[in-house]
Amino acid sequence: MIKQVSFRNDVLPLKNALYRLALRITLNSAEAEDIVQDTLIKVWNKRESWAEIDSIEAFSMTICRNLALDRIDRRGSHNASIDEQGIDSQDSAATPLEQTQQRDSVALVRQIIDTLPVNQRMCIQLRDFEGKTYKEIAAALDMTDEQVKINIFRARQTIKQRFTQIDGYGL
Amino acid sequence: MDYKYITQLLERYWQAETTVEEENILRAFFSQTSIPEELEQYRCLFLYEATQSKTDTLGSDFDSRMLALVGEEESDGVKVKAHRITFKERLYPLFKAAAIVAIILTLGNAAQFSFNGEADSTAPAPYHTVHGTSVAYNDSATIDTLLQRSMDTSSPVDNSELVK
Repeated sequence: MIKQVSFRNDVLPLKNALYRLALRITLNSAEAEDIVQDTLIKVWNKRESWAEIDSIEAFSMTICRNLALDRIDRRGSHNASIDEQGIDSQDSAATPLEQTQQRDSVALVRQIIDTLPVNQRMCIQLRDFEGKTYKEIAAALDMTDEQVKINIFRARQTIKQRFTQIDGYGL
Repeated sequence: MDYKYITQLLERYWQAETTVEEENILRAFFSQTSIPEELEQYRCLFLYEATQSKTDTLGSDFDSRMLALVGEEESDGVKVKAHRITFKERLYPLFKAAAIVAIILTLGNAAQFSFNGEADSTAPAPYHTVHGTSVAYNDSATIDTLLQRSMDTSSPVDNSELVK
């Protein structure tokens, strides 16, 4: 029997993970939204050949990554605009002062991660934010498991180093 | 409290040697409100890792736009799900109607029968006599011959009448 596919149930639920990946690559929310739109349309238009695809999610991630990398190539990766949108995290801090401090420090972490090389950014996004395995990340990003691990290792080393620096100056 | 396990996990995290589950433990640990001072500095990292999935999302206006683009119906947030109806299910209302008609007919018949039954009980006599005479006819050979004779006598009359 032919499996019934619907855009709403099979493609649309991927939007947020794709958006976060695109955002981590482009660092611009409007561009990331455009990329997700294009990705979802491409995936939907390929629905006839979904049977040959192992994981629709990994397939979508790959398309999203390619579109996002195209974008930053086109505008030149050196003048990457850092998105200045505020983070409305529902944090557990009690007082407004603590909340502000926590928000500031979260913004700082975001800045640290967003200044990593793009390959490390993509790997760390899929690992530490989306909770994917090395194998899943490798499939999504067209890398080997080993490359994924190296990228994550380097990214975490840099993050740790930045934390030590900040701690030295006194946060 | 001993934080040796967390410290070890953290060390392996930096070396990219933790599993997905161990990284979940780290995120859960750092989402607590009271964290020892030496680990406090890393709290914002794991807090950010844990909360980005809730803060960086696309809203329902994006959904509407996408659904319009691919031409899939959207009805003001009300989810319309296709419901398959089998042939039997499609005929179900008919079955229901047929069942109602059958019930009405049965009840009608029953009512009529009971009314007729009442009417019969007021006049019971003829049934009994008919039964009695038929038995007599069957048993009696003389009656048979009598009947025969009456038929013999009556038939020429009938015939003559017909001829005329």
